[in-house]
Amino acid sequence: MIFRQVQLIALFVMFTAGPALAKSPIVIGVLDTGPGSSHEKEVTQEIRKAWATCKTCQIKTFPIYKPDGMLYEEQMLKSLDQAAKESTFLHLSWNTEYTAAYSRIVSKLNQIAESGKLIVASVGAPEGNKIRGQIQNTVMGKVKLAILIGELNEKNVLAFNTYEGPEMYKALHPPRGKRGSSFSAAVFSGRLALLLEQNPKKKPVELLSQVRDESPPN
Amino acid sequence: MKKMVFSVLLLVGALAQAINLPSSSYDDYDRERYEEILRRTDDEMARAGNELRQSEENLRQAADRENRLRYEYDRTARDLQDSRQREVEIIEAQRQNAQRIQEIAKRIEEDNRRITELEKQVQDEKTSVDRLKSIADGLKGPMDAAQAEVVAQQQKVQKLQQDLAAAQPPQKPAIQEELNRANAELATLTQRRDQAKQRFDGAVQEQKRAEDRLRTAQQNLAAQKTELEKRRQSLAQAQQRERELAQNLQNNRQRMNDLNNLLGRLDRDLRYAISETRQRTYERDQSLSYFERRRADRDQAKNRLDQVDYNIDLARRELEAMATANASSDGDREGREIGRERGLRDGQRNGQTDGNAAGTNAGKDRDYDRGMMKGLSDAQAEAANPKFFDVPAEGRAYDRGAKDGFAFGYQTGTNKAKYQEGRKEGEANGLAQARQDALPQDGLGYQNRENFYLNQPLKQVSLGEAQPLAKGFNGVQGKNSTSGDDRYYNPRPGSLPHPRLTAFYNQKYDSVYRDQLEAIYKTTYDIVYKETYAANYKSAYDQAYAQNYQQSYDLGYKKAYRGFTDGNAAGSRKKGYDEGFKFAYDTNIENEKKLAYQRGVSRADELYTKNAVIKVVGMDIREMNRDGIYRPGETVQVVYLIKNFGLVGKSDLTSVVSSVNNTGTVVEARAQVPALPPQSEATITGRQQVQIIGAAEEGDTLQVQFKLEDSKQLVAQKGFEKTVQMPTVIQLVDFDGVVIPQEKTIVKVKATNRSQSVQNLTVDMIVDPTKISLPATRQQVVALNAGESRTLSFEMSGQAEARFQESEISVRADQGADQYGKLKQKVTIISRHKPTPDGRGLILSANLARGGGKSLYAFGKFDTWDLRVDGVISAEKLNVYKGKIVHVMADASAAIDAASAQSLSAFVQSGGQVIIWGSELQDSSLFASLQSMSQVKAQRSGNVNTDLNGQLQLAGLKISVKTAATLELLGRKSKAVLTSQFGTTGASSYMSGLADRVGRVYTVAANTSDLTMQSLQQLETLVNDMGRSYDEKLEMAKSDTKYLKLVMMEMQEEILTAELESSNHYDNNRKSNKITKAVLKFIKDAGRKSEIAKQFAKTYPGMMDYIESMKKVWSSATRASDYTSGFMPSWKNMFCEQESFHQRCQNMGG
Repeated sequence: MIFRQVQLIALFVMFTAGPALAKSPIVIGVLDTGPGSSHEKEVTQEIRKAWATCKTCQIKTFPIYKPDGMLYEEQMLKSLDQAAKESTFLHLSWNTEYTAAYSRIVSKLNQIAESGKLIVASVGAPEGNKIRGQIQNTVMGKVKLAILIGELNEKNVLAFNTYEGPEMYKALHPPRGKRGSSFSAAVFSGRLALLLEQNPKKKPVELLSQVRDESPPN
Repeated sequence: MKKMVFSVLLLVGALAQAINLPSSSYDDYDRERYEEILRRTDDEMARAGNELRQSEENLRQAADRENRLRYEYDRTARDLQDSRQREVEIIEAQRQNAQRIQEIAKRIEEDNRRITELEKQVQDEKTSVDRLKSIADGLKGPMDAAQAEVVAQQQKVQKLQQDLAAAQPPQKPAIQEELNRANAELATLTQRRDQAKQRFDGAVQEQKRAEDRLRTAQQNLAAQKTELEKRRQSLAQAQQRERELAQNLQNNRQRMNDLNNLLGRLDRDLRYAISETRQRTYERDQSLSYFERRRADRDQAKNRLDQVDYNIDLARRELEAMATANASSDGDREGREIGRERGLRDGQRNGQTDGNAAGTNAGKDRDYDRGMMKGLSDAQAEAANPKFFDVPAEGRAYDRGAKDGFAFGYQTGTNKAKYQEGRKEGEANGLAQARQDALPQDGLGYQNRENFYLNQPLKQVSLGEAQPLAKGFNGVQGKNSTSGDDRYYNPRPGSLPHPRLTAFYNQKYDSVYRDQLEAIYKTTYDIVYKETYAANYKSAYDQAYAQNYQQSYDLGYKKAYRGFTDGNAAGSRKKGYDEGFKFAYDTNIENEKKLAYQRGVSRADELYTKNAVIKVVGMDIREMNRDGIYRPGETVQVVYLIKNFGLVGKSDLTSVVSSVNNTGTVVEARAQVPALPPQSEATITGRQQVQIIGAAEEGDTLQVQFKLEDSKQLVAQKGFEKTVQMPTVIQLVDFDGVVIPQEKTIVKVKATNRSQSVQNLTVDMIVDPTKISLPATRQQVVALNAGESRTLSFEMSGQAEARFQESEISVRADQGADQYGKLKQKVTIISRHKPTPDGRGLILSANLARGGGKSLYAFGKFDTWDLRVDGVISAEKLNVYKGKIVHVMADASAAIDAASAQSLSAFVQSGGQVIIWGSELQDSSLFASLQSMSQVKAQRSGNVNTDLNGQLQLAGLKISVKTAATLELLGRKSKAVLTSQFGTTGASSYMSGLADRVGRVYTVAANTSDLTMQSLQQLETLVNDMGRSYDEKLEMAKSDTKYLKLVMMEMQEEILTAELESSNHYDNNRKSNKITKAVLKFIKDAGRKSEIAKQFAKTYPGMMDYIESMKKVWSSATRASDYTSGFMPSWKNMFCEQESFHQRCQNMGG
C-alpha cells in the first residue's frame, strides 16, 4: 500500500510538472469491448450519468476487441496509442489475468501512465473456478500508476467475486441496478470529468483525492 | 412483522447465550481511556523520578562537600601536628648547631697555637741550615788548596819518572832519590787533602739534614694552615645553618598560626556541611516517598490497562470464534450456491460442446465396418458392372476394398475399360521413362524455368496479428448468485458493549466469509462442473451418436464398394499399364530424348504452379521497445522475412524457439505462422517471446535458436547471439571512492542514453545509512535523448562512526518499472588531514581503509594522512611531526607517490622519526618505494605467534604478534632492533650520525592489530627518546645513567657516519664531536667522582673496540676519546683508575 502511495505521489509530481492541459473539452477515452458492444454502451451511459451537468465532457471510444470478438495485441496497442493522444484521461473497463503474452501491452500502458496520462481502470473479476484473485497478478495490476477502482456490494463491503489487493485506489458502489467494477470505475471517471470542468486549472491527478473522498452518488 | 421481530429477539438471545464476554461494561474495553491514564501516570512518575534524581544529586553533592571538608580538616590537623613536631626538631637542631660552633671555635684556637709553634720551628731550622752552609763553605777552600798541591806534586812525580826513564844510568840514582822524596811528599799531601775533604763532606751532610728538617717543618705548617682553613669554612657553614634554622623556626611558627586559623574555618564549614547533608537527606527521602507513590499509581494504571487488554483479548477470541462460525456457515452457503450455479453453467456449456463432437465421431464409426464388408462383397459380385457412388474416396473401407480389388483386377483384367486406360497410360509412361533417360537435357530447361519464377515480382502482404490474446469478453462484473447477490453475507455482531468488539467481529467475519466462500466455491464449482460436464457430455454424445450411426453404415458400404471397384479398375489398369509401358518405351525411347529440355521446363512449371515454394531470406530477433538495446528483463521475438515463389499459398509453417544458455526464458516454444499467400513476401513477427532474465548482467550473451518448420521438414534455422546491455550507462564522474566523515562530498552521476529512444529516468542512489548519510536519494532525468548525457549531483557525507570503513554505493536508473542502468562503487570513509597540537603523531597510508591504520588510530589521538584524500604530502606538513612519530602503514596499502616518498625521506634526513609497519612487507609496493630510505629489505612472512624482542635502542620492548616478515639489513647504517625465533623482524636505520638530531626509520614487520597499548607506549617512549637532540641525551644521562645507552648509540652512529662519509670529521671538530662532548660533560662537568663519570668510564673499552674496528677514523676518534684539554683525567684514565689490570691499561707505565 505504501508502495502504491509512493507511486501516486510520483504520478502527482509528474502531472504537476508537466504542461497544462487544454481547458476544453474534457475527453474520456473509453477502452472497452466493442465496437458498439452492449457493455461499452452501458459503461459510457453510466459515465455520462455520473458527470451529470458537465457541458464540456465528451467520450471517445477506442475498442480493444475486433468485431470477431478477439483481442489482438496490435489492435489494443493501436487503440491505446490513439486514446493517449486524443483523451484527457483513459478509462479501461477491462482487466484480465496477466500472462507473458500481455507484456507489450503492459509496457505500453506503463509508458502512457509515465508520460503523465492518467489511466482509470476497473479491477475486474476472475473466472472459472476462481472467485478471488490478487490485483498484482492482473494486467492492470502491473501498471504502476493506474488508478484501479473496485466494487462495493450491497453489504457495503468489497464485492466478493473481484480481484483484490492494496493496488486498489478506491472501491465504489456501482450505479443502482448494475453489478461489476467496470461500472464503479465508470462512476469514478464521470465524477472526475465533472470536477475537471469545475476546476479548469487543475489536472486530473490533482482531483483524484477529491473524487476518492466524496460520497458515492448512490 | 411480528414474525420478524420474534426472529430478531431469538437471534439476540442466541447471541447472548453463545458469547461469554468477560464483561458487559463499556469501560472494561475502553483501552484509550486507560492508555491515557497510563500515559498520565507515566508522566507523573517520570516527573517524580526526575525530582528524585535531582534530590539524590543534591544529596550526593552535599555528602561530597561534607567528605571533602572532613578530609581537609583532617589533613590540616595533621599538618598542624607536623608543624609542631617540626618546631621541636628545629629547636633541637639549633642547640646541636650551637654546640658544634663552639667546638669548631675551640679547634681553631688550637690550630692557631700549633701554627705559631711550627713557624718558630721553621725559623730555627732555617738558622741552622744557614750556619751549616757557612761552615761548609769555609772548609771548601782548604780542601781545594790541598787538592791543588796534590796535583802539582803528582805532576812533579810524573816528570821525575820521565826523567828517570830518559836518564843515563849515572844520573839515575839521583833522580831516583829525588823521585822517592817526591813520592813521599805526594803521600803526605794526599793524606792532608783527604782530611780536608772529609771535613768538608761532613759539613755538607749536616747541612742537608738541616734542610730536610726545615722542609718537614714547612710541610707541617702548610697542612696545619689547610686544616685551619677547613675549620673556618665549617664554622661559617655552621653559622649559616644557625641563621637558616632561625628562619625556619620563624616560618614554621607563622605556618602553625595559619593552620590554626584554617582549622577554625574548616570546623565551621564542616558543621554547616553536616547540617546541609541532613537537610538533603530529608529532601531525598521525601522525593523517594513521592516517587514510590507515583510508581504505585502507574503500576495500578498499567494493571488496569493490562486487564482491559486481557478483556479485549478474551472478547476478541470469543467474538472471532463466533464470527468464524457464522462466516463459515454463511460463506459455505454462498460458495455452494454460486459454485453450483457457475459449475452448472460452464459444465453444461462445455459438456454439450465436447459430447456432441465425440458422439458424432463415435456414431459415424459404429456401423462403418459392417457397411464396409457388405460393400466389398457386393462390389466383387458386381465387379464387371461397377457402380459409382458419390462418396469421398478416403477411409478404411475404401482402402480395404482397393487392396482386394487391385489384386483381383491385376490378375483378371476384368475391367476392360480400365485395362485400356492403363494400357494407354503405360504407353505414356513408357514414353516418359524414355524421356527420363534424356534427363541430362532436363536440368537446363528446369533451371531456366525456375529462374523465371524466382524473378517474378512478389506481392507485399501483411499477415496481420498472429494469435488473438483472448476470445470473447464477459465484462468485469463481479456478479455472484443470480437469486440475490451475497445474500448470505450477514455479519450480525449483535449488541456489544464496545465498538472495538464489533469491529473485531466484523473483520473476522469478513475474512472468514471470504476464505470460506473461496474454498467452498472452488470445491463446489469443480464438483458441479465435473458432474454437469459428464452429464451433458453423455447426453450430447448419445444424441449425436444416434443421429450418425445409420449414415455411417451407408458410408462404409459405399466406400468399400467404391474401393473394390476402384481397386479392380486399378489392377486392370496396372495390367494394361505394364504391357503398354514396355511397348511404348521400346518404341519411343530414342525419339523422346529430344524433348528432354521441354520436360524440364514442364517440371519447373509443375513445381511452381502447384506448390508453395518457401525461402527464408531474412531472420532476426528484435527487442520489444525497439530502442536497440537488449536489456535485462526485456522480451525479444523473432522476425522472419519469408518469400513464397510458388503459385500456391503456405499455411503449415511453425516457428520453434529455444534458449541455448540460461540468459533467456522462452515464453512459448512453438507457434503457428500465419498463412502465406502465393507469390508473396512477408515479414512475420513470431508469436514466441524470449524474456531476457532480469538478473542478466551487462555484457552477458543472449543465445537463442530459432527454427522454421512445416509439417514435413525444417525450412530454416538460425542461432542468435546478442549482447545484453543496459540502455543507460551510469558513470561516476571525478569520484575517487572517498567519502569524508561529517563533510559534504558531491558525487556526480553521469547518465548516458546509449539507446535509440528518448528516456525518462528515475535515478536512485542507495547507500548504507549506518555508514553514509545521503539526504536526497532520488533524482529525475526527463527527456534524455539518444546519445545524450546528463550529470546529476548527489550530496553525501560519511557517518563519524564509520571512519576507516569501506562501504558500497549503488546507483540505479529506472524507466517506469524497468531497470535501465546500474552501477556499484566501493567507497571508503576517511577524514581529511587536520593537524592537532596534542596528537600522538601521524598515521600515513595510501589507503587507510586497509592495513593497520585503523588499529593504530584506536589507541589514541593520531592525525591521519591518506594519500588518496589528502594528496601528496609535503616536507612542510611532515615537519610539524618533529619530536613525534610518523607511522607509515605499508601493509595492504597502495603505492606511495614519488613526491611523498621524497618528503618522507627529507623528514628523516632532518631528524624525523618514522616507523614503517606491516607483516607482509615483501609484497608491499609502498615499502618497496621506501626501501632505500629504510635500508631494509623484506624477505618472507609467515605465521609466527611469538614475541618480538627489542634489542639495542628498543631493548626491553616486547610485542606479541601472529604474523611477521623477516628483514634483511642492506647497509651498515641499519641495525636489527627486533628479533624473534623467526629471525630479524624489526630494524632501525639512520641518515647522518653527524647531525645533532638524528633521523631514524624503524621498520617493524608486524601488524598494528597485534599491538597492545602497553607495547605501543613503550615503543613510542623509546623512539621519542632516540629522537631527542644529543645535548638533551647528555643531560638525561647525567641525571639518570640508564640513558647512557642513548649517548653511546649516537656516538657509534657518529663514528660510523664519519667512517663512511667524512673521515676527517674528528679532526675538523675537535671539541664539538660527540665523543669529546660526552667526555667533557660526564668527566669534566660532572666531576671524576660523580656516578655518571664512573658509569661512563666503564663504556670505554667497548667503544674503543668499536673505534678500532674502523679503518679511516680510528686514529682521530681515539684522540677524541683521550681528550683532556685543561683537566684531568681522560676517559681512559677514568677507566684505568677502576680497572688498572685491564689490558687497555697495561701501557700506563705502572
